[in-house]
Amino acid sequence: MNTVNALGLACPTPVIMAKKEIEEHPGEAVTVLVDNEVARHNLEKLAASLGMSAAASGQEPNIAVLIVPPDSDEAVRAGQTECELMPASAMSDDYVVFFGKDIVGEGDRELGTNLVRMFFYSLTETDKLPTAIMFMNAGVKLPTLDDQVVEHLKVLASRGVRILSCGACLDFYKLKDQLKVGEVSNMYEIAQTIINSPKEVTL
Amino acid sequence: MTPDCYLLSFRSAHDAMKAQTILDGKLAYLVVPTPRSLSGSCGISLKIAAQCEDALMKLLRSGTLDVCGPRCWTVEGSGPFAEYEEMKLDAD
Repeated sequence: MNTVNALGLACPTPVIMAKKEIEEHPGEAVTVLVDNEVARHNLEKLAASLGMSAAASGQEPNIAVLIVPPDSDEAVRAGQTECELMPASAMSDDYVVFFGKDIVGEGDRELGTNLVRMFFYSLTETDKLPTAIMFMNAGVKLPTLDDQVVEHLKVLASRGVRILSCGACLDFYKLKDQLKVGEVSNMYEIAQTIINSPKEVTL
Repeated sequence: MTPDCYLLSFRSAHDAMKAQTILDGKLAYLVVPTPRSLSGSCGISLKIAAQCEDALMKLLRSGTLDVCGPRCWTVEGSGPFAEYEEMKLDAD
């Protein structure tokens, strides 16, 4: 059993250590020791983003998170073609939306604010919704400070769209306690979500 | 019959943004794309909830928004099947 001792370490260090251990021991289970619920939650997100499962035991300040690789049937896989091995998502028309700023496009800020509000309103009226919408850098001002965008995001979230905001960015802009919709995420989860999606739309 | 909501459309994006400046703090609105079926307007419209009808009519009749030259539409339904009818307003 591979064990990572991340007791006393602040996020994202436990996540980084866990990811390194998982990469160094592919196909093996890893136990990560952490001392707080935020780290536990982030490790569970890491596991999910890697297609692995996680089970936590204990409570603060002694929590053990067991991250287990998915069951695999190597014999079946060996008989498949490269095409068949592609994840189902790669052949679907799923897409994700990435916002690295709080307006659409370059140029006039007021116009850009109008455009971003109209974009999210339009999304609420479409049938083909993104699987996730991610916010980074100044983009995190949208799910926190823009009431119109927040209302649209709530509609989208109620229809199953994941709303992910970068925790470091919320921290930087001192907006962590003002997130009105969706969840606080991290670079690993956001990067993995983009990588796993066949299409990414950046505005 | 009360419509589902109201829509204000404008000649230009500048007029639409000027209207927002006037409405801020007076009337709640959503910035929405102008429906394709409404020709002769710019791409930015403002959606007003039906509950705000009295306040909207008061603002329109008082001429407060005249500087932006809005057209006011009643909206029945939503999404691509919504129906729009232009309102003709009598000044106070």
